[in-house]
Amino acid sequence: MSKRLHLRRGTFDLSPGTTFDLSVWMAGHGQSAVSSLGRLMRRPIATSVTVLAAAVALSFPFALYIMLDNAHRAMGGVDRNAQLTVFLRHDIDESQTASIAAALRRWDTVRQVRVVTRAEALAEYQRMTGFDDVQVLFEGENPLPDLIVVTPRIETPDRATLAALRDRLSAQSEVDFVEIDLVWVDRLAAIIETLRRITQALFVMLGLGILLISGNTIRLGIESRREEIGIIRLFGATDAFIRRPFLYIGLWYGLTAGGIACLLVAGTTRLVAGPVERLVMLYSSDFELVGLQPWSAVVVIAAGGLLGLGGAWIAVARELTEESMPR
Amino acid sequence: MIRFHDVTMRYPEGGDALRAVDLHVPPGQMAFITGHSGAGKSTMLRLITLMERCSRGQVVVGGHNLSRIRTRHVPLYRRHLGVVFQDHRLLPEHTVFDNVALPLVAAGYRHGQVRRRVRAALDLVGLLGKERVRPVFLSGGEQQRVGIARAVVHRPLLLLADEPTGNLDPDLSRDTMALFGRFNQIGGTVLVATHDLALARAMPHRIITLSEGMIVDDTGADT
Repeated sequence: MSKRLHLRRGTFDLSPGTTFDLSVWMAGHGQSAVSSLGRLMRRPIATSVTVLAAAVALSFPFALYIMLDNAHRAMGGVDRNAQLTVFLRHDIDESQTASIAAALRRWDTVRQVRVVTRAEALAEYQRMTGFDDVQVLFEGENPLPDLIVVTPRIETPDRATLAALRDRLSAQSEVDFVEIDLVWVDRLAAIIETLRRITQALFVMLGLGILLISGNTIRLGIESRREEIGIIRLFGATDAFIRRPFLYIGLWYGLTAGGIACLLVAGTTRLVAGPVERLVMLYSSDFELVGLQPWSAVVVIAAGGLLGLGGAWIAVARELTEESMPR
Repeated sequence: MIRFHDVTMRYPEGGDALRAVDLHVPPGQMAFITGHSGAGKSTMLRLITLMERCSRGQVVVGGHNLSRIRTRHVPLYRRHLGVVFQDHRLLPEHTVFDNVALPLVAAGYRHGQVRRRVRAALDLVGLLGKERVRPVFLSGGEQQRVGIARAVVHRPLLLLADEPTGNLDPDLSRDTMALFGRFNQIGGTVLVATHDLALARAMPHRIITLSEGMIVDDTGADT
């Protein structure tokens, strides 16, 4: 024994016995990461149930997010069709109409301007009504004014922006009146806002759910290893050392749940892609359903990891400071 | 190494486990604490390991008043202790190597050092070659030797043992005591709590006898 062990006498030195060594720190983390993964794999059923519950909770808000994103893009097409019809005064002639249209094209809030002359309007009326001798009906006069169809430059249907544009157009001296249908715009905006709020609420609620799932699983794990923690503490382990494997367990739960949530969302997108495509064809739209993008998959997995880690952190911090925990 | 000044330990749900105990164990001494069940032997060890803090008085170990030691310093303090239990308290899911390595890993030793020291400690207790075995596959005596290897692997200044021979037959008990004796010969302070007075008397070391929380006999204090 004397050859192998040499003891020092004197007072206990309470400074850390070893200086910080990055390689030792990393090796410790590597060992905790691998051992915690092994611990999870030794209990495949319990692990699967926990991971699947977290994955389903995580997939709901992300599926809604993708739906909202697609709806938003689909509405973008509708936005572009949100137009204001500017009826000019009767005494405005074609050349004045052209110069008004040119002026409107220079407005920041205007994306597109299309002139419909009174002659074109009358021809359109004739075509739509099928009434050949329309000149006779109006006694040789064309009662229709020139009009300008204005497409606003806006990202989302916004009543205030459209109303402001309508007011500005109405204020022009050559304009008789401006027509705009704001009811459908309000409805559309309300639907999108509602969906956005629902998604945000689901993010918060189900994120909290994942924190609880991870936290409760870790808490049970700590409970079952209470005696082991007491032994480890007795041999000089710090709380950080004891905490580490549990945090890795939380991280593995979260990352795996994130990965499975991605698969669930991708599967769901594929499932609805066919019907959406047929629906789009009926409306002769160029809209394409966009599923889970690589960057959003990274976000889902990272969010899962962070939530799992967060739940584990809360549970471990709470359990290790509990009065009944061996000190 | 260990000083108890007028130490009283009172549990809320019970009476006094220790009553006004005064004790001094100098560095390098090996001492037995004996007494019947409930006499206060384990309480003394729990106070020294800081599993409990005394209700009154002072416990000073390695120059530190344990009543004043900060919570964040407790792990650093414990790295100077080695503890052996009657029920071994090995980690069942870990191998013999991992169990013995625990104090070194917790203190942040490099892998190479850990491997060398664990092998040395296992050689000391005659279990070299069983590194990869899990404790459940070892006999009671072997498990106790793993516990002793774990207690000395980090070269503590103070070795504490709570009824270390309680589950062992007489031969294994003598072997265990011999290991403690060898640790003491190289300068380690050893405190063994045991109810086996005959075993304590068979060794040439100090014997402190407790009864109802008080020291009623103290022989061989100069050994």
